[in-house]
Amino acid sequence: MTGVLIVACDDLASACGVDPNALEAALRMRSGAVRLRTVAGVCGDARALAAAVEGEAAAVLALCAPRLTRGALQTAVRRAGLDPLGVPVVSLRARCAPHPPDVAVARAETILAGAVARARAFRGSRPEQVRARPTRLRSRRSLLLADVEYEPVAAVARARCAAMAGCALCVPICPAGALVRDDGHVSLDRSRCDGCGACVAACPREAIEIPAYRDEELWAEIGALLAGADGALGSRGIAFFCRHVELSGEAPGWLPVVLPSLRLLTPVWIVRCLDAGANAVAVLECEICVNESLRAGVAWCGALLGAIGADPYRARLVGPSGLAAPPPPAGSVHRSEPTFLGEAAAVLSLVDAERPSDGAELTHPGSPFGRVSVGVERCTLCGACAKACPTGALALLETPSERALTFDHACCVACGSCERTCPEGRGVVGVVRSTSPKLLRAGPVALVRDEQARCVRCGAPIAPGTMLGRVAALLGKEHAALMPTLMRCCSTCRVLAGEDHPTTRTMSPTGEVPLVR
Amino acid sequence: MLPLAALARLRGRTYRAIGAALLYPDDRRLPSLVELAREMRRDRVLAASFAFYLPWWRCLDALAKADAEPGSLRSAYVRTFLVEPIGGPCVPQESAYVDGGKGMGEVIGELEREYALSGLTMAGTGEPADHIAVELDFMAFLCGEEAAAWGSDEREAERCLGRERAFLIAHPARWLPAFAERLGRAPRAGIYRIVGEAAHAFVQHDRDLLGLLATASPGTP
Ligand SMILES: [Zn+2]
Ligand SMILES: [Zn+2]
Ligand SMILES: [Zn+2]
Repeated sequence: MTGVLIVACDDLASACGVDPNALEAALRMRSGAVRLRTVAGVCGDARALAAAVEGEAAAVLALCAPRLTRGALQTAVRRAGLDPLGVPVVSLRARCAPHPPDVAVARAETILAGAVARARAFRGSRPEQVRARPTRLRSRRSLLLADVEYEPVAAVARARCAAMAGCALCVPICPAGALVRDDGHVSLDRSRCDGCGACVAACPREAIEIPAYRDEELWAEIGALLAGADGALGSRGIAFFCRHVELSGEAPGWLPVVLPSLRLLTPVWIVRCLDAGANAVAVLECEICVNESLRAGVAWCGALLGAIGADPYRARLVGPSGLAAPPPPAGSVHRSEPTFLGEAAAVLSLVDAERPSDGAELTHPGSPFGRVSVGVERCTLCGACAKACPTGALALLETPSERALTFDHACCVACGSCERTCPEGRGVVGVVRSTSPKLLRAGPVALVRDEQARCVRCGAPIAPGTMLGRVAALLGKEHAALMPTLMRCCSTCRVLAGEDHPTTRTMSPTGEVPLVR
Repeated sequence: MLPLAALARLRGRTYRAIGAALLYPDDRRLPSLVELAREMRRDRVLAASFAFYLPWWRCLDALAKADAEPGSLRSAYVRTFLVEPIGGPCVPQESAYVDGGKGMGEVIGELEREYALSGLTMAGTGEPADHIAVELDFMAFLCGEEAAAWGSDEREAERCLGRERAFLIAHPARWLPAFAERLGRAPRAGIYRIVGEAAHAFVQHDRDLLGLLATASPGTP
């Protein structure tokens, strides 16, 4: 386990009501290899900060409230040899001072345990994932007076991206228009990206990441916030908020998780928190970040809770005063080991804990899952929808005797690519946003299946019966004479027998068969 | 020194050092490269303000010790840039990465004209005009001009900034990421992998920084 140094301001006791010695002892018990070093005036002293962190493998800054600019803090950390994106800065005054002393220490300990876990989980950043923040520089001359502030931006991993298969779900989602699709790839214009993470949430392939906000980094913090006994903290809620909003006031029981933007937050994150033992999850309203899809997603969480007999109020969007009351007390809450679960697994885990029966299907505009249905009469099993599906939720399964279109609810993100690509026109393939625990559990199920017509000469599959029927309909009466051949032989044998184009029959004298189509 | 002049000097020296590190380390070049790296390590205050600092510092650390085993350094150079058989060597030349219908001659001609506009010609040391060391040396030259101009002729300094940005975008920034990526995958590249990472980080962040300076008003503090 990586040793983590917590650099704490020596004013913590007077400014935040937190005794550093009590804090260190508690954190050792909780987070293992942790050291705490108090440094005089570190909230406003970059030199002292750099000297304290020098040579450490990982660090957390426990400040009353930083009096340095973010750029100056980053420079100090960098000088000491650490990547600033991996060093959490915790402002304890706003988080702890309004609380009674025992609660203040418990809060500081829990919040710092989250920061320590996050510092440990940090996986580094590449040059293209970091960018100088443009708004800070008012004039060239001021450049070196107020240090340049860097912020993480998104990066697309081409190896995972499904753009080649036609996926471009992230492109229209980006509020800055920073993503473009050209020659089969999605690429990011770094100068436009503001690192909000909307694309990360939209990508069904986990091909986009923002350093310091990767799944495992965020989850490390949340898991640590929720671990351990309640003690002085009482009931525990997770409060997600963005960099545009500051946590103010007492907010008893609410533990803050700061995101670059709420657009990074998918509804399943809320489910994960609830499943890992959060009494409630609040998302702090922000004018910049909150959009219809976030509203719908949070509402879906509430509806899901309601559907399984839990308090729907445990997941909601709140205004600035929404954190004044503590999260609802335990009630139906269970606290599982905080392991990171995939989307479907997280939902099923919560459903199982609350109501171990299958649970009814929940159709809701905010559902992160979709359910595809196919009109069996008109589907020809051509497989175009499966090819277009960016997540592999739809797949074409072929055996010598049968062709089937299968659907895996757990992988479907309701993107609608299948609906749009179906060559049979509107209404054959349909998607609704819905969540069905039963289907999530079921894995891939066949939506349409049909026997394959087999070649009378070589036995190879020709096409499903439905597709041949469709071809017959297209050919109409005039060309009906072609059908018996089409249904009897595969394309290869048709060529060999000269039934398609007699001129292409070229049997070689040696018996080798050059295939000419 | 004016802060902007100090920044230009730092950037120029960094370009020069990275370029020099990517030339064959013969008896004449190696000692001066090591000397430059050691000198640059003495002052880290300014460099630490920028995001290229960490990979750059790792690179300086390695370069400062590069004369310990000159033999293995040279064989790493030859292996990496000249002969490595699997997938071909990491050719440190723009024309190996930029296609767009341009032949090698065209790229080199374009660069030589660009250098000539600043009154520079090739020194005749054998490197082609599109060699990474030559392109970065030209960036270093432009930064030097900028640094000198800040104290006397601010408009000239601004012009320099514009030319640095245009050249960086048109040339090194276009192919260096691909070159560095290839270097990262090269087997037994040794120190050159570290140099490649630093070069990639520096060019990426310098491009951002020049963009930032270009959009900021020249106004007073
Ligand atoms: Zn303080
Ligand atoms: Zn916001
Ligand atoms: Zn056949």
